[in-house]
Amino acid sequence: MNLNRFAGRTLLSIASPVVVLAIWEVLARTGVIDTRFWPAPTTIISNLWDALLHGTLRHDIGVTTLRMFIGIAIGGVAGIIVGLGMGLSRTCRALVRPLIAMTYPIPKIAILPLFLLIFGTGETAMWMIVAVGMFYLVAMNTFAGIGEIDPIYDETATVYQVSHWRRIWTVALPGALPLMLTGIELGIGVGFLLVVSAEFVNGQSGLGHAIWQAWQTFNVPLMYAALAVIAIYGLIVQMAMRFLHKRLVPWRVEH
Amino acid sequence: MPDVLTRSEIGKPFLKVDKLDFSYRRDKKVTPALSNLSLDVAAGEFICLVGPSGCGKSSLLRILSGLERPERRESIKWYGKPPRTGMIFQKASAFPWMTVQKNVEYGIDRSVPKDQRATKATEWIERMGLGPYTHRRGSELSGGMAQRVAIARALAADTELLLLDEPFAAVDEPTRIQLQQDLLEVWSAACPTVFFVTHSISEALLLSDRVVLMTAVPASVHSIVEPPFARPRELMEIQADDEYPGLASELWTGLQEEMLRQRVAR
Repeated sequence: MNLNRFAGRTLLSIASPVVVLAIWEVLARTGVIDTRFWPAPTTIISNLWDALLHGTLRHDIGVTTLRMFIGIAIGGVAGIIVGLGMGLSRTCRALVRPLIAMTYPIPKIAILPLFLLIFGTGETAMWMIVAVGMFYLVAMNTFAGIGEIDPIYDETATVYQVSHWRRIWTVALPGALPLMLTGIELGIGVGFLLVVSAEFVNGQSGLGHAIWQAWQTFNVPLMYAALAVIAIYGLIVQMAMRFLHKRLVPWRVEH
Repeated sequence: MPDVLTRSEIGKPFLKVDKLDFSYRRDKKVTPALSNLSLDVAAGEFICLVGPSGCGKSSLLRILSGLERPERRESIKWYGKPPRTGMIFQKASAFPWMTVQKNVEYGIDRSVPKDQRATKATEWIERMGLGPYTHRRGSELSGGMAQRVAIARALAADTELLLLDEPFAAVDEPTRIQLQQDLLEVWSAACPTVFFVTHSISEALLLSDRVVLMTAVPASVHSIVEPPFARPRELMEIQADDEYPGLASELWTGLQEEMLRQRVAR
């Protein structure tokens, strides 16, 4: 009964995009919609295939991926450190919190020109813009995660006179981990947004650059192909994060 | 297994609580919790604290465990070094992200080699009847099981002072009766000094050497009752004892008096 329902739901979630694509295909082929703006899915797929095999799309994917990885690593590590610091030390909280509160509302993409000035038009500015987007979400969620830990666990550590480092390792980190992972997931999303936007204006390569190029040459199928790649990216990130959640915070998944 | 106390140490002076005052201070607001509380405790003694809700019983445990500081440090006097302390809260305190094994190992001194820590934890896991749950995570335990883990964790840490704050209040009755028996068993094996906060007079009479009835807030000692029943005890047996009704009604009368005073004071 339950299995049937599960199978049914899975089928539905696969069927819904297939149905949408099928309708789109039919509408494009019958000329109901303008294929200059809405090329048929099969056209997009064959273009994607072509771009992957012969064009620069593969290179662009690699470039954007690398920028994402480096930016996420820099911003993630910094965010975790600052978030833990704020959560664990009142002094650190007093020092850092107003700074974060003041700078957080600034749209991160607005900092790009400044970064281009500071770091030049090379890769560093790209890494840093991703890192900045990542940093805020990870730091704030890590901080919130520590605030969410039931005081009973901290008191248990106090009663057993556990050392400062062991307390961080056994209480603060695992306790904050669920929200920390949420912060990372949100940060990756924002990082994508930032890297693609940055590639529009500054870049000789990358997925954002490919989309911009496609627009300038009115290569609509290529535009869709690049968008499809980003959508697949998003799906992979989401699946990876769900896997990480299951592996790293199984006590949360059970509830 | 080396017990915490050698038998000869039982009954020696362990703790003197001398005119203890304590208030909670939050945003300049001072809420007195304990006032002029004095109590002498012998090593290995099992003390139950009974009193109106919110009278300061938990505060006393929190001070003894080091979670709160008394107004004057000299009002808590340990004979000898301050004891190794374990605390069991009403709420489950087993870390949900650790296995039962890791939870029980948690309080053991880090200077003990790793394999010995593991062996020690295993022994107490077995003793508390947690054997089949060794590899379960804290999040997978029922309320009663989580309290067993907390007790095993405290005793594996060679706790000399065991503080229990209404530990069995949130479990169903059959589980509670079993937990009470198991607690008595491990207490007579490891001989820690025990403070046990409860709302149940029958539980207090079943478990303790002395029942300390506390006054309305700010709490001090109202009176002390010494259940004379021979150990090992069973609830049904002691309730059939001729002395039981007298002691129970003495405690109940005192408790009602203090509950009334507390209500008026508020």
